[in-house]
Amino acid sequence: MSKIKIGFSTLFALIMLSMFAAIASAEEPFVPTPSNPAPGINVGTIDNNGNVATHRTHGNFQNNTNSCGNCHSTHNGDSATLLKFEETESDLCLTCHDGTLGFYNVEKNSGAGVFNSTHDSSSMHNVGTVAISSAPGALTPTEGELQCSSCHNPHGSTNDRLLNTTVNGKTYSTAAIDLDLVEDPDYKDINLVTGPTGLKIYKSNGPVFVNEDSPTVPQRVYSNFCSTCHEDYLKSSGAKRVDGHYSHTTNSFKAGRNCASCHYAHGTDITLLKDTAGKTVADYVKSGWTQEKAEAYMKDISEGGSSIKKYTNMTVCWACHQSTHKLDTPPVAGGNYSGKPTK
Amino acid sequence: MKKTTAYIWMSAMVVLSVAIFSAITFLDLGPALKPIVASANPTGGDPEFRQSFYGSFENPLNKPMDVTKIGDRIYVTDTKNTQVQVYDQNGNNVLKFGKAGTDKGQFQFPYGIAGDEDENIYVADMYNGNISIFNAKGEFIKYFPDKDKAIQSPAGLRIYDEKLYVTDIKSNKLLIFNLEGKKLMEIGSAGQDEGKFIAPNAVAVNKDNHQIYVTDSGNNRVQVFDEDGKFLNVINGSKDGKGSPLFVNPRGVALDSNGTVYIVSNLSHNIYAYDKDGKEVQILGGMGTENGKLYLPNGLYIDDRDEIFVTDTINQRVSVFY
Repeated sequence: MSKIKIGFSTLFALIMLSMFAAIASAEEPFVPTPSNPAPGINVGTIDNNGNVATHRTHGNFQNNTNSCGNCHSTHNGDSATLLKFEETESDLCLTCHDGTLGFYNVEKNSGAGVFNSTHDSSSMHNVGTVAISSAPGALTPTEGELQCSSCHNPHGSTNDRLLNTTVNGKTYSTAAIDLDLVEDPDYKDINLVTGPTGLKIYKSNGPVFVNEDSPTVPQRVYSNFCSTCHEDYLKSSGAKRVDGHYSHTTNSFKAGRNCASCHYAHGTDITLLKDTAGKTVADYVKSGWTQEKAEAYMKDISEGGSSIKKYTNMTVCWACHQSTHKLDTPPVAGGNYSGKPTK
Repeated sequence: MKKTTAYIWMSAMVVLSVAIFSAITFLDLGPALKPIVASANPTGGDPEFRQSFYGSFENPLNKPMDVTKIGDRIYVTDTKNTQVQVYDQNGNNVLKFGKAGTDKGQFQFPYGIAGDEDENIYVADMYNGNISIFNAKGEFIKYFPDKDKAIQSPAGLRIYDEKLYVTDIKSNKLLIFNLEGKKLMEIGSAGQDEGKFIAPNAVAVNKDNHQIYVTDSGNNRVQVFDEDGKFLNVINGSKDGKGSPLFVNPRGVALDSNGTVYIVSNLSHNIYAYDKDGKEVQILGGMGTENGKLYLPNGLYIDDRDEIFVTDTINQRVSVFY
C-alpha cells in the first residue's frame, strides 16, 4: 500500500514538475534594455509615438535619490512589492497633480474626465476606497484596492500617460492603448524650451479608436484595457454575458464602439456631461440660459448614478443611433448630429 | 522665624498659586501669556520640534496647503475642506470660514494666505483665480482689486511693507502689487533659464535687504532676486546652486531674523536651512508620522520670534519648530 502511495506522490510530483517546466519554457525570458531595465520599470525615455527621450519626470532618478522611500519600505512593506502607506497613494500623486505644478491636473476637466466630487451628477473611479473586485462585470475575485497605479505606472511607461499594459494582473497587450496626443498649445513656452531631453506637455483628445489588426502591430483595443477589471463587459454584438444578459458591443475596434465612446477613464460630473447634440452646460449658459436652468437640464437622473458617462442620462444612444433613425425633435443650433459622438 | 509666620507665608503662596492658575485657566489667558513667556525666555540654538496643531477631532485639517500668523493667531488654508481654520497659540481652533464655491467668501482651492497691518486676511484661490480679503472675524470684505487682471491662478501669497507678492502658476510669474491693487512689478515667464519659472509655488522677502525668494517648483530650485527684480542666484541644495538639485518639488520658503532661508522639499519631506552665505545649517523633518516628522509638507511661515510653522499635508497638521 505504502509503495503505491509513494508511486502516486512521485507521479504527482513529476506531473507538477513537467507543468512548471512547460510554463517556464513558454514564458519568454526578460531582456533588459536601457529604457526598460527590469520588468515594469521604464525610465521614460520613449514617448507615445516611439520617440526617444521626451518624458523623464517619472522613472529617471538621481544617483543620490531617496525617492524610493516615498512608496516602498525595504523590510516593512505591506505587499510583495514592498509598498507602504497604500491608503495615501493618491495623496502622493495629488501633491503634484492637483494643479500646483500647473499641468496634468486631474482635478480639472481633461480628456480622461475629472476627479472631483463637488459638482452634481458626479461619479468616478474612486481610487483608494473601492475594491477592484467590486468592478461591474468582474468575474475573477481579486484582492486589492483600485489605485492610481492600477492603471498608471509610476515608474514610467512606454507611453506619455504612463498607462500600464498589465492591469489587475492581466496583460492586455504588449503596447498601451493609443491616445490622440498633441503638444498642448497652452504650454507652448515650456514645450519650446525643454528640448528633447525634458518634459513635454501633451493634451489628450481622447483614445484613438482605430487599431490595426495585423501581426506586426500589437493588438490594443481600448476595451481590452478596461476589461482587465470589467471582464464580463467585453462583448461582441449578440454575445451573451455570463449571467445570461446581452450587452451592447464593446469591442468593435474599427468603428470605435468601445468603453471610451461612452465613458471617461477618471470620472465625470455635470460640467463634463453632454447631451445628444454634444453640448455642455457651459455651451447653454453661453447661449443665454441661466446656470440653474442648464444644470437642471443636464442633471443625470439615472438610478445608478452617472456611471462615469460622457453623456447625460441615456443620450449617448441617440448620439450614434440618429443618422439612420431620424427623430423629429428640433435640433440644437450648432449641435452634432453626424451619428459620431462628439469627443 | 516663628512657626506661625512660616505657616502664614506658606499658605499665602498656596493661595496665590491657586489664584494665578485659576485665573489663567478660567479667563483663558494661556494664549496671551505664551508670547510674553517666550520673549522673556528665548530659546537658543537650532530650531527643534515644539508642537503640532491638529484642530478639533470633529474638524481635522484636510490637505493644509499654507499657513501664516496675523496678530497672535495662526491661519491655515484647509484646502480640501475649502475653508480657512484659525488657531490660537495653544493650537485651539477659534474660527473657521469659507465654504466650497465660486462666489464671494467661497473657495475651490484656497492656497496662499497672508495678513496686512489691519489684520485683514488675504486668501489666494488657485482654481477660482482670485484673492479674497476677509476681516479678522472671517467676514468677506472684497476681492483684491487686481486692476490689470494679471492674476490667473494664484498660489504663494505674502505681504511685506504694504506690498502684496503673489506667484501665479498659470502665467509662471511673480506679481507684486501695492495694496490698492496697482501692479508694481512682475518677474518671470515660462522656462528653465535664470529668471524664468515652471510653476512658482511660494515667495518670501528678506526684510533686511529686501531680496525676493521665489520657489520655482517645476525646476526644483529657489531663485533669488534683488528688490528691483534683477536675478541674483539659485538655491537648489548644490554648491552655489550650480549642480543638480537636491530639492524634489520644493514648496514653502521663508527667512528668519538672521537671514537664514528655510525651504520645504515636498517630495523628500524635509525643510532645508541655508545661512546668509548659502551654507546648509540644518535639515528639519524627514518622512514620517511621529512628532517632528513630515509627510508631504507644503506651506512655510516664520514669525517675528523665529517660530517656524509648516503645513504637513498627509499628517493633517501644522507643526511648529523653534
